[in-house]
Amino acid sequence: MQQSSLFSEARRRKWLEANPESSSNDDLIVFDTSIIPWWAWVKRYHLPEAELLNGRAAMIGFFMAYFVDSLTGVGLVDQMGNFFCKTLLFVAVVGVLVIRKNEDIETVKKLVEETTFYDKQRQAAWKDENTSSSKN
Amino acid sequence: MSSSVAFKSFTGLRQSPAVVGPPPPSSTQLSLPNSLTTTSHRSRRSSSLQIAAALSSPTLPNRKLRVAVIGGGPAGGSAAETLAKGGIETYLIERKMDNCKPCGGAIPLCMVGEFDIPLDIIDRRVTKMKMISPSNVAVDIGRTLKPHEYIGMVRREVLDAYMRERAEKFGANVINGLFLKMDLPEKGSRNVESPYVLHYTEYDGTVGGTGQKRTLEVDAVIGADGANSRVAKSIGAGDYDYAIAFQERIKIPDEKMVYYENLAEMYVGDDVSPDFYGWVFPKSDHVAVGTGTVTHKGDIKKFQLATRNRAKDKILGGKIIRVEAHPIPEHPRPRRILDRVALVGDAAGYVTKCSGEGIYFAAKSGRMCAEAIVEGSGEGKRMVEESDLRKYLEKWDKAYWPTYKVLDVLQKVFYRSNPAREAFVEMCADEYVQKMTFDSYLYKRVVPGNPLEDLKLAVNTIGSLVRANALRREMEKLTL
Repeated sequence: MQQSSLFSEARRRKWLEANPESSSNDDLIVFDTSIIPWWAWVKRYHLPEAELLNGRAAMIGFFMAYFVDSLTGVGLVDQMGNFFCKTLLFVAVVGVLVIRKNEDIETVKKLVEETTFYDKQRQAAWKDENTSSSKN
Repeated sequence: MSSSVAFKSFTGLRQSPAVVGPPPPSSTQLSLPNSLTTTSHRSRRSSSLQIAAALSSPTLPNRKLRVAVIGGGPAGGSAAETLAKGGIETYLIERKMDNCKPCGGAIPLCMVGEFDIPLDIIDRRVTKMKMISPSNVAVDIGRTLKPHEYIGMVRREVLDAYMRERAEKFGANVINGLFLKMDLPEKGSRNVESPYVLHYTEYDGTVGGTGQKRTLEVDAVIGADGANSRVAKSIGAGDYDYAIAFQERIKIPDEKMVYYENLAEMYVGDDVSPDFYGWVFPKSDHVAVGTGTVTHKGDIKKFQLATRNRAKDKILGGKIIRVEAHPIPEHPRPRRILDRVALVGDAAGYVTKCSGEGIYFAAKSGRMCAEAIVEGSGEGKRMVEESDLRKYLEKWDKAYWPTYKVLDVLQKVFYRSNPAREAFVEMCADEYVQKMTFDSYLYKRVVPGNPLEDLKLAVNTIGSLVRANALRREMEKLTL
């Protein structure tokens, strides 16, 4: 029953996005997404995505373990003892979570640049001072 | 000086790295010079030590320090007033005395107190705001305001004229002229005989007159001439990204004006602006409907139509009495000071992101820069140096960099996409958010928030963002 409020809100937003309407005072819309119960979100979004990501991580993990074993002869249990292998495991997990499409690699790079952009602009004024005083 | 960290609610925001500034004013190897010519090179030593303070600058021979302020808006007016009060020979050059700068016109409460703005200049006191999301979810903001708190709406022509007149009363020479260009003194020169030569066209008040070319020699210049600053061009200050703000002043029928008596509206959405917001601000007897953008400047008319469409019910029957547009800087210029020229206000790029607030920061930076000059010159008796002006930059960055940074983060997070804007509007319904927002906006300081509430806020923010994005994915699955 409450899942339907999720669908109806999505429909309403989709409609308005395509055909923006005037906001009127007589017909005030007060909608807080938190009225939709948590299990509706979980069932609809969290579970399918979790399934997808776990599947990817499992496939990557299996084939990397097989690959390393075939190259070095080190079995799975011994691999887990090695620090380098543990690091690779961490990188693989984070990579699966963060990079879901090819475009995500570019997005992550841009995000990193974005977070430091404003600081660089502000510091530009101070960089100028150092260069000019060292010139004389 | 009140502290000015705008939001403490976002954990993990890092503070700015310590800025390098001039060392304390204990000049070691320098003696007070007798002749003026020996001063020219002693301050720029080749060692790594930076410039010493102006306690060792040459004393000016039987005249006061001359400073020109180019531009007579809030920044120029407050700078000229502070300089004149400090005993410095001040020239304020403004090109249009009745200039009606296109502007939202909102001033925070602290500006009324700090700059002694008379209450009859304030046309309206906004005590309620409505934020409207892309899907027309409307949220009322302002429940937490106390009875004496408000956002002042002013007409720029009135405010600017008042501040200029006040500067004139304290002894500044107000010149109606258009600044053309500036001859810089010889490089590295500290010689009092080598001033800045300003070229300007003086208007004598007759309408349509072309004015006469004049020159003026001064020792220091404050560039307060706005977003398209010519002073900035003369010192090669570099460019900045800027937004275009487009605004239409609409006179609406009286019964509709009652709704906007002390209420301002903010519309967010991709249709209204991809990276800013659309607004309806009440002015003296009409409303200003406008929008702005950085990235899609060519589509600004389309965004304006969309804004008017979203407010259609409330401004129906209105007549457009004026259309205006102006650039808004997005971040400071790479270089804000060169020798004895400093930029303040919009010319320096002191407009916050997210809200686009500039009037208070312009006036405050004008005052800070003027104070630095007054102090460095010992009330007009000595020549100033770049190091004195740098003190103003240091003070400014230390006081307001966190504010700018936080608003930058807010803009990046919440103006990114429609789901983010929906989450933003949802967050604004929370009382704690409203209280923190208004405290930081009205007083430019933050009262340390309750850490438990901060944590709850952080969790709620993430929750809202996740839910809004999930809804978006649901929307994508639908076909209407």
